[in-house]
Amino acid sequence: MKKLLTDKKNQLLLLLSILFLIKIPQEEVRFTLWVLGGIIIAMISDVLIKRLFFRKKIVPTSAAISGFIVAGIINYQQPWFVLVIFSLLAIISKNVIKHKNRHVFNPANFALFVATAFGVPLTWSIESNVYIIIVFGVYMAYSIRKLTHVLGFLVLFSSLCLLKDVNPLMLVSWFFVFVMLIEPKTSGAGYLRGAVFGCIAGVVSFIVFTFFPRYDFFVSGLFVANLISGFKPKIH
Amino acid sequence: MARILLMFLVCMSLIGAFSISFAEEMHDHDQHMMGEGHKSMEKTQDLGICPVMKGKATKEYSYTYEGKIYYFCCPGCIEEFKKDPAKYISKIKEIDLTAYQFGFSPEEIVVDKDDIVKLSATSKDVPHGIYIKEYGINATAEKGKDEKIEFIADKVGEFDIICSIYCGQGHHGMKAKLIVKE
Repeated sequence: MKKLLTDKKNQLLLLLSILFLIKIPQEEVRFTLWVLGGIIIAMISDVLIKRLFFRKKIVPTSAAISGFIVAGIINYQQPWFVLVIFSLLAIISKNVIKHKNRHVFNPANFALFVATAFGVPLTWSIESNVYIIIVFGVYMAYSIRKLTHVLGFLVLFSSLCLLKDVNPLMLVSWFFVFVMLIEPKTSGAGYLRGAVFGCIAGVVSFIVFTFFPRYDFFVSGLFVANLISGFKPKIH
Repeated sequence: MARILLMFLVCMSLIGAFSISFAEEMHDHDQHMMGEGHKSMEKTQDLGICPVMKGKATKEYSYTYEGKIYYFCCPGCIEEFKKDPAKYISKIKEIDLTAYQFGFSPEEIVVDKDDIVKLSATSKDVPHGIYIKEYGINATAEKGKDEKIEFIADKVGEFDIICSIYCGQGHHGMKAKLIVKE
């Protein structure tokens, strides 16, 4: 049990479950089915892809997290095929878009980026309690050494927002910062690399927010940061 | 290599399928926005919906009544309008919709079935989305800009108006209602 709770993926799953449980009474039954559906689709597809194409047996914890995020952010009033497509897309991107044997994009964010590009509304329903997210997020970012990612993003994004007379504390998504931005495998390791990664995400988010408001700026910012981080040479 | 190629094909076919579905949805939406009178869409200046036939109004056919210009889809509609302007004007509902962190003003929009609803949407602060799923509306309201949204309220019921663009920590709860009465 202790081992189960000390695993970072399980801790994240626990946070997502708490946020989900908080949101359930505030929403229709469809929300519950929608999120559970997203998780199941992502888990099954990951198991099948790994088994059929890579001959591997896995416990799909990462896929469950991706499914949780995708279904928790896409507006749950959309047709069911939207959930199926984007949950699958998250998992497929993880298994297909690879560089040096590592996936380039945060799987959930990749699916959400395609969703926002197609005009699918993202309501971020899963962001139900920012205080829990911040407390958990600071602990998580510290323990996996991703605090510079967070700081880089916050400093750049907040400074640019203040220049535009926008209150960054009201605008910033703590769920994005502490759950999506610091995804271990796609956000780059090391303090300097992390800070650069956060800065890129912050600047691109602000540019999209200012000039292309139709698209989700956080998701777009992270997409570009993943793209640059995935292919750029290592900073020593 | 074959596995990756296969998965790439799966990925592309998924995106393709979604594009087709989405294009069909948008096609329905375009027809809905224009009414049933005119099925073909022209990329011209948007003058809204003809108050008589509920087709797409054009610049060529206009009529000024009590200092206000009304646009129509054909000359016959102008003649019809002249006979009883009040009848047609009463079916046009013009509403100013303001979005802010984290709500809409007014919170409820009440119209009658088959009214022509003209929303003039703006934002007090950051950009917000105006999304009404059942009417296929997905627009952006920005500070200092006036976004015109026009549609025929041909479905009876209560419909959520939600913000489709992330606008801050209260974004997920930002809602208003469109109530269309029989």
